[in-house]
Amino acid sequence: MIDVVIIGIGNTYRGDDGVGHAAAEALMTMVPDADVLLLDGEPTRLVDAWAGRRLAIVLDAVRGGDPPGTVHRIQVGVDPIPATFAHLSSHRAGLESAVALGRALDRNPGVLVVYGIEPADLSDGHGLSRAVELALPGLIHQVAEEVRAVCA
Amino acid sequence: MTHKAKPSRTLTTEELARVEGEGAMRVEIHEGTVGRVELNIYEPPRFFEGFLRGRRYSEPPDITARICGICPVAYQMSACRAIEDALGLEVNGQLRELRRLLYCAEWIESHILHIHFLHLPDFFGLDSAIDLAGINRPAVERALALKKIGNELLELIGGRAIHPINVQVGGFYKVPTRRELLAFRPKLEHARDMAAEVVELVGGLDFPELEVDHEMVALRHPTEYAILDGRIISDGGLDITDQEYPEHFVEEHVEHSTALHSRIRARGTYLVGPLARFRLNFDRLTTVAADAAGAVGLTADCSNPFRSIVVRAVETLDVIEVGLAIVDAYDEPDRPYLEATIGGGTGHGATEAPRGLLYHRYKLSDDGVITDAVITPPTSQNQAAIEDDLTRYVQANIGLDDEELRKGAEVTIRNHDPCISCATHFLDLTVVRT
Repeated sequence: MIDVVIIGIGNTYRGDDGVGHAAAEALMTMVPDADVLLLDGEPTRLVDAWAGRRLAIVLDAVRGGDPPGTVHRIQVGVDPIPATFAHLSSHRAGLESAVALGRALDRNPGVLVVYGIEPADLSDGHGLSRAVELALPGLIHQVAEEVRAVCA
Repeated sequence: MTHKAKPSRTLTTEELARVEGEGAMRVEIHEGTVGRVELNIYEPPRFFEGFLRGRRYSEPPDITARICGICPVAYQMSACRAIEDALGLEVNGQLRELRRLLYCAEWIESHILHIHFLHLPDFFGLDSAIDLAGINRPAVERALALKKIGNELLELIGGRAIHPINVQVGGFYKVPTRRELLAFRPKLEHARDMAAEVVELVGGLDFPELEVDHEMVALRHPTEYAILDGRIISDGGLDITDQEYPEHFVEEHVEHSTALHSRIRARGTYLVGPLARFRLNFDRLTTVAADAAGAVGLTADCSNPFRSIVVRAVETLDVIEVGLAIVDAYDEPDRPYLEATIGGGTGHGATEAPRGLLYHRYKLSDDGVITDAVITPPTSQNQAAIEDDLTRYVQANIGLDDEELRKGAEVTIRNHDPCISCATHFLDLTVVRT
């Protein structure tokens, strides 16, 4: 098994909620040493996706009260998850549940990093807002660097 | 736990956990009698209906798959069948068998998810499957293993597990080889053993008393436990084709919800989903599944929604057995899909999503562009029935304090596995006592 996985979660029909998938898709060709998966955030699928990995990076839209396009990096178990993150997006709860489920079954990865991108618009429809679009290249670069550092 | 009820009260749940998506519920109790009960869900299918207009006839399978992460195949299959109906295309033989197998994979995944991660914790007084892992880790491990097999089968036929991409009008883009399917057989055999254990586990639970008398509606096939196609029948005498659906079912807008309420014309509330299927198709179960149901005392006349968890377990065992038979008889079709001749018309398609009947209708222009789309998911069909269950449950347990009542009301909703991401996001529960 490839021991690094990048997981984009979200819904591409809910505006900026598609940012996790957009970033993950861009990373597919950039980091051949990693598995790249597009998921919807359902906890058991997340646990299956990251079980046994050395590093798992999750990309998701997250509302933390900062301006749209802001990128948050959180290492689970090391950095506190800001209270404002919880339950603002329907799959935030999924991620928290997945971490708890993985912990209960000893299936969490060695290192679990969540990149959360502040959305501008989560209403029904295709496409990312300008603010999130502008933040994408920086996010993709940062994730690619992090994966390369581990795989080097 | 009983105490004298306050003369009037309102129950509110800020967030109903362990249902798919978002929504809200409000229960009003006046002088010890349940008054208004409202389940309020938002409905992305309405957005998708608008979104589909102006698209090509070939697009709904991929687009509607995005309505739900748990049951994308159901959306794909109803969409394909409706469009094929409009184009006069009939998919039979091994292509139909592959569709059934793909659908079986989704049922395994969806049912196992609901049984263990959404519903089972309720029966142990626990908040989540994470807590369940603390008292019965093997059950949670088994659930993950079963779900994974469903997932892998979805990938094998559907191209990927989330929102499969290999489905198209007329069939598939690529079909698996006989060797690929046979290689999967040992996993299905293992899944069958595990599913039998799940039936035993949930069959032995204690169930709250609640009997409902909704009209039960499901597909009925001449020889199969219907999933992919069949006549739409009910225990109230309904027996119609997909094309006749709009004549018999009406959708009404209700003030408290963005979802439409479905009713059988001139009759009213009805129920789709496991209990309905089981009642109407008990005689179509595989022997293995029927025997397992019998062993835990589940009979076709079951009308206790809390027992739907047992029906789901039996159905899981059934689809695995069906899947094994499809794999054994599989013969790679000559072509992965049937070519459609583009033309105008209206088509209807109903299939059995894990949560119940899912109906699609598309109107196509002569050049194959969608001019109108209707998607009626099981959850919106069940909305009135769920409200009715809640009324009965709350009335029967009116002496409980608000917290106990709220918990019971949530479980009553979860009995029906409302796919609120098809129909919505988080659920808020409000109980008003006056």
